[in-house]
This record gives sequence, C-alpha cells and structure tokens, in this order.
Amino acid sequence: MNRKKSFNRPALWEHLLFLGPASIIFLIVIIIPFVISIGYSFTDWNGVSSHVSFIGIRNFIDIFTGKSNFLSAFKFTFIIAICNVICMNIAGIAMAALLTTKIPFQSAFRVVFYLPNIIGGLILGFVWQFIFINGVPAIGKLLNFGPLMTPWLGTELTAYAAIVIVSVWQGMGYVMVIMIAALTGISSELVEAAKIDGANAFQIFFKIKLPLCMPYITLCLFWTISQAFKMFDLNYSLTKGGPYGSTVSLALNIYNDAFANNKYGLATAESFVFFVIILVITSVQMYFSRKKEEELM
Amino acid sequence: MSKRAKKQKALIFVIVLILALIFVYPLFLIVMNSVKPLAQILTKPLSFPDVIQAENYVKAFKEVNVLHVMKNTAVLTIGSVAGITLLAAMTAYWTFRYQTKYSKVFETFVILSMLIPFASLMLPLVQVMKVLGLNNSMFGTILTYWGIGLAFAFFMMQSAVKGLPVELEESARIDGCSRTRIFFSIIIPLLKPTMVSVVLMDMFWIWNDFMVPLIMMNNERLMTIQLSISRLFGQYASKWDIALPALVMTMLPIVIVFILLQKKIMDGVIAGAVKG
Repeated sequence: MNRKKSFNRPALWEHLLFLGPASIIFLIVIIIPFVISIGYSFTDWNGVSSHVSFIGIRNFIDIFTGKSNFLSAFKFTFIIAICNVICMNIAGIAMAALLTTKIPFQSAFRVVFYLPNIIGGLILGFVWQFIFINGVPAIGKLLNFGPLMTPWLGTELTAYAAIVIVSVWQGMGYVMVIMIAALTGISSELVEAAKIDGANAFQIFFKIKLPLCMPYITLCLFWTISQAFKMFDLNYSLTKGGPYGSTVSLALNIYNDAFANNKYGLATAESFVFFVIILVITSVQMYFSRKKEEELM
Repeated sequence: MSKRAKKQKALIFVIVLILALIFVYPLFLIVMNSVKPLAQILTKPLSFPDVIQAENYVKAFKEVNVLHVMKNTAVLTIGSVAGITLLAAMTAYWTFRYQTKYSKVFETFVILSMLIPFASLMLPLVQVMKVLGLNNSMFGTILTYWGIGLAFAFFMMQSAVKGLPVELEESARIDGCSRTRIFFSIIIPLLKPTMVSVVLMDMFWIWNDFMVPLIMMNNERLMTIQLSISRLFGQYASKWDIALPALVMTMLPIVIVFILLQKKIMDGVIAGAVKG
C-alpha cells in the first residue's frame, strides 16, 4: 500500500502540533537532565555551593573500589533480585496452576492474590513494619516458636528475608495474572491428546503446559528482575536501609548520597552506573522479547 | 465427573482458600488493630478489639489531613494520566501515519528513554525545573510524569495504531476533513479501548508513586498521600493508633476502585505485558 500517494503531505504546523509538545517535554524531562547528569558525574559538586570542580573519573573510581556505598547497595540489590525472581515466579506459577483447575470463586481468588500489587510500595512497607514489629512476635509467642520472636527488621539476615517476603507478597499476583492468561490460552486438544496417551496431571503440567508458556515465563522473569533492581519505595518505608545500612538498594543509595550526604557529583556518577545496569538488563530482555513476539503472534 | 476428580477439586479449593486467608491476614490485622486503643495494640495485636475506638480515625483523619492530600493526589494523577494518554495517542498515530526523518528520530528517542530509570534523571531534573520556575509545583510534577510516562503509553498505542483502517481516513480526507479533525473525531474513538488500559495502568502507578513527588514537590501545600504517610511515620514512630487508621484510609480508595474495575485492570496488565 502506498500511503504517501493517498495522503498529501501534512503542513509543518500539523507536524508541530502532533509531535512538538511531546518533543519539548521529552527534551526537558529526559534528554537535558540525562546529559547534565553525565556532566556532573565528573565533578565533586555537593549540590548546594556554587563551587564545582572537575575531578575526572575519581567518582567512578570511588564507586568501583568500594569507597562509596555503591558496591554494598549493589550486593544487597543483587541478592534481593535473585531471591525475588525465584520466589515470585515459583509462587506466581504455582498459584496460577491452582487457579486454573476450575475451582469455584476463581475470579475472587484472583482478586485477592493480585490485591497487594495495586497498593503502593510505600504504604505496604509501613503495613509490614507493623506486622514485623508487633504481629510476627505475637504469633511467635502464641505458637511458642522462638525464631518468630526476634526483631525481624533489626538484624541483617532477617531484614533481607523481610524485604523478600514483602516483595514476593506484593509482586506474586502479577506473575499469577500473566500465567493464568498463558495457561488458559493453551489448546485443550493438546492436553486431551496427552491424557489419552496416559500422561498424569504432573506430567501434563511440567512437560506440556510449562514449555508452551515459556515466552510468558521469560516475560515474568524480566519483570521481576527489573522490579527488584528499581526498588525504592518499599525499601524506604520498610527498613529505611537499616540495620546499619545493610539493606540500602541502588536507588535509595543514590537518593541518600545526593540529598542526605551532600555528595551530588558522586550520586550522579552512581546514577549513571545504575543506568548502565538497567540498560544491560533491558537490552537482554528486548532481545528475548523480540523472539517472544515471533512465538506469541 | 468422577468421584475422585471431585474430591481432588475440593482439596485444591480448600488449599487455595487457606492460602488466600494467610495472604490477606496482614491486611486484616491492620484493619483490626486500627480501632483499638494503643495499649491493646501493643500487648494483644492478634486479639479482636474489646471496644471499637473510633477516635483513632478522627485523629488520623486530622493528622494526615486526608481530604487535602487526597485532592492533591487526585489532581496530580488525573492531570498526569490525561496528558500521557493524549500525548501518546497523538505521537503514536502521527509517527506511524506520517513518517518523516524527524518522526523516526522521535520514535528512537522514546524507545531509548525506556532504558533510563528515574533515579538516573532525578537529580538534574530538579535543577532543570528550578531554572524553569517549576520546582515545587504541581505542574512541574505533572510535566515530569508526562515525560517519564510517555514511552510505555506510546508502545501500547503503537500496536493499536497499526490496526487502524487507513481507508476510513482516506474517505474523510476526500470529504474535506482536516487531519486534526480526523484525529480527534475518528482516530480517538477507535483508540479508546487502548486508551482505557493506559489510563488504568498509569493511574495506579502515579497514585501510588512516592519517588517523583518526594523529589519534585515535597512541601506542605502539595503533600500527596504517599508523602504525608511517610511524614507521619517519621514523626510518630510506633504511634500505631494514629498510623494504622491512616494506612487503612489511604488504602481504601484504591482497593475499592480495583475491586470495581478488576476485569479491565487485569486485561490491561496482560495487554501491557505482552505488548510493552
């Protein structure tokens, strides 16, 4: 089809009307800040004073030699990402499998398990602060079970666990909804054929259904990874980075360095490295989703 | 259905039911404790309230200034979502229908912007807004959401725009309809289903977002729900008789909206995941 022939060319003002406002907004909100940010990453600016001096790549050296908190934030974020990806996807897929067995009140259950996903991370962090500080020890006392009575947000290991528990509780519903869509999309003929061949429910699920859902599973994997790497709200409200800065995520670390520690130059350098990390994850994702598109269509 | 299959289904139902009860138990605890006196919250958080202490809610309502912060959050969300949706529809349609060198560049930049996390932009963004006189303002924050929200909405719109019938526009052109009018009276109605999913998804994102308001408008007058809850917890650590009712009140509106629109929202989530 030759579109150009049937439509004579629009006038300049029409181009401006449709693309102009978005272009200007884009320039102000994304492009200019991004360029400035790279510029500041080579300085020692503290964010307030008028004194800014060029210090080359010293900020980046500080980041990679562990002089800034970036590496420990990276370690935290990385561990959380791995735990989250595994737990969230297993829980979500298992829930989807249970909910596609034609049990009654299926859609009501779907609503319940998706519910935390629509409440913001900040509010949920505070909700769980109460649960971990007051609720869990009370349950521990009731069951006379020691490990539950410890201050969960007070030690490093349990604070990690707390963050994973809350993130999985919040994000599992997303995986579940996607996987329910994937599982119900599988043709029943295939499943029937497998049944006739004598396959049991487990074999059908693991050997037939899951492989067919692979494109959706990849999609959920990357969603959970990038959610974990961009974590900020939940981290800010649940542990505030404590105990002793052991649970500071990458985004929270950038925020702290810029606004609490007055290391603006360093923070912009950290935010650039953060950008590169997300870039790598998203590029791998785009590579896979291009494949996925071919499979889904 | 055989007896065995029926038994199996009943067993799965019971398992799911128990899981669901455990799953909502934390939220249930919050609601239950929100009406107790502080002493009872601290000593017996698991037991049912002896008395319902409604003053908790009155106090929290005043402390958080619920009506004020909800109004701010609503203005912010509506302004941002409306802008994102309109801009995305206009740009996605135009870059697809009237391709120029510039439209290709524009498209590339929008796609690339998806790779930039907000944390990488936020520091200089504050300065840019200062220069424009928009820092600490509602409009500056809405503008920020227009910028960072465009890419995802653009993607959603793009796949919808590709399915538009060009013949309809051609005959409208022959009848003397201007391109702008074609867009507003023919294209927009056709894009409505996609626009609705964009609205629903971005609405929850912005309503719940904490990072952008924290950086762009952290002041008393413009306080959003998220900001005021965060401040409340900073000031009254472990004053649970105020904090818990405040949490319940802030969760209630989105939970209601979600339950009312659940089908559309989940369809939007699936569409967004597959296309985005």
